[in-house]
Amino acid sequence: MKNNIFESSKNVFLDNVNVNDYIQLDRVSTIYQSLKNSVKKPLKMILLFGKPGTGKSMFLTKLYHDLSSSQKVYIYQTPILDDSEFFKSLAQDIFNVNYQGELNFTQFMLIVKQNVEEDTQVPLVLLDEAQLYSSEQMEKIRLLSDTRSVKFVITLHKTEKEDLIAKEHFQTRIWETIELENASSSELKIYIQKKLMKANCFDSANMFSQNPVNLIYKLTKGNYRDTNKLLYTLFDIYSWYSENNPSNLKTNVISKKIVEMSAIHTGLINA
Amino acid sequence: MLNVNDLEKRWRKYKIKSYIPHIIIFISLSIIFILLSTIKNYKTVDNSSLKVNTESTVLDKSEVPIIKKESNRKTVYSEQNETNILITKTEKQSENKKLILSPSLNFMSNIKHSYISRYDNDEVYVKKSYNKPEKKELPKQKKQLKKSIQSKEIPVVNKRVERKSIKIKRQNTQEDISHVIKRFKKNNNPALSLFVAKKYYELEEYHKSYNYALITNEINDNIDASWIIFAKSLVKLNEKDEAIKTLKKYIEHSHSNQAKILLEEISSGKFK
Repeated sequence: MKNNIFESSKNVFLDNVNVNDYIQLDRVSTIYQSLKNSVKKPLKMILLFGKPGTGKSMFLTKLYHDLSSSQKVYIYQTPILDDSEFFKSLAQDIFNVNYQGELNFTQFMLIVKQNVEEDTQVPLVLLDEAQLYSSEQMEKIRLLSDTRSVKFVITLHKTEKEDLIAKEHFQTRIWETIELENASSSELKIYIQKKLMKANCFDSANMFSQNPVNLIYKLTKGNYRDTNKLLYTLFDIYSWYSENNPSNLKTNVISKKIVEMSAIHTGLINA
Repeated sequence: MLNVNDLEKRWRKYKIKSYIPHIIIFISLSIIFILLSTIKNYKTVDNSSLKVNTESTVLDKSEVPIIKKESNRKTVYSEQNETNILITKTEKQSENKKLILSPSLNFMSNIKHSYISRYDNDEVYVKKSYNKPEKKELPKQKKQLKKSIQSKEIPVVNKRVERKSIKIKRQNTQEDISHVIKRFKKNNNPALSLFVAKKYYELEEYHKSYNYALITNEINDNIDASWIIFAKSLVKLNEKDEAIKTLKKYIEHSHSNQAKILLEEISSGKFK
């Protein structure tokens, strides 16, 4: 029975972007609300940036999920690095134009001009992992957003494309930038407990007192992705112990030893 | 698939590694503490070693010979006793009485204890260190002395020094003296011990004045005043002959005018 609890708890922390796993935290929900408000403003481009694992993809997915019912919104979670493929995908999704052959930027702009209807809501394109796009592609995206025919929300890692953001001509066009940060210790506790309780793992949620959470925070620095990885391994180890050595397993509080073992396994501790 | 056994091993290694800095810090602190305490002890020993080294026989209560007028006791002739004075004492005491200034390797171990105890026996009347100037005599003289001692029949002079029961009154002078004694114990300055000897003499505590004069002589045997207090104390302790003998030896050694004057006074009975 216990084993099932640990197994289900483990699955809660699978590293995947599922809008149903979105955890409402005070600070995060404030940021999300400001993002939603920004989308409603007549902005050309919104930049969502932060370190890896701070929840950018989850934000974008949540935004897509929330807006898809009320407006035209398209999400590209994996970057399309080929120019032609990228514009063909946009033409297909936004304007429902199935272009045969190579589609360059000029041809795509013609399609945009032909298909844009005035007084209709500007379609919203969400681009995840935008740091993977080349500078030329980013420039074309900027030109496209300048036409006010398409609005972009892009996410990128804080460090990798900082120089790109710093370019003045680009900076002026990003009218809204939203930064995501790692969780604090108390936020992390709420995050873990809410996530477990959402999956009805109440016993597991109760095991997370402030001390083990502080240790987890110390190891992951509040990074959501690292926390998920760590806790996945942690419950994996708990499952193993409950199967093979249940007498030594304390289930009232998260064992420091098992947290450290998980950190060793996930590489957060270099042992 | 998780290999928990392997993970446990890695975790144990990690824990050991994480304790190493703490262990190192603890060991370093312990070593520093031990070193500091050793250095401190060494300094204390070092300060007193020179002085104590000159004392071949420590004026310990158990070792101090007390002159008693008991004719039944075994008599031992003092080897260097020119004036044929016989000191009665037990056999054990006579062994202790020999003044041999050979370096002792054991003094390091009991140096502190014995050094402190020396000062704690103020009341004890010690009778042998007046031989100190004699060590500078020529060997020839010594031989002659020996012969003369052996050839003569020496009358037994039994002297008894009654130990005065000293009543310590709370006076300013006493407080001063104890304060000076404390200072002397710290820095071993002969000027301080001489001061104490003088003060005790003034207070008519002749045993103590004798003792402190003796201590002063051991530290510095060229201070007239200390020899004079020493001789005066002896006279006051009814050891006139001893006083004369000691003064004579000192005069031979130092040609001190003050000592000569005192010798004359004692000899003529002017000083009692």
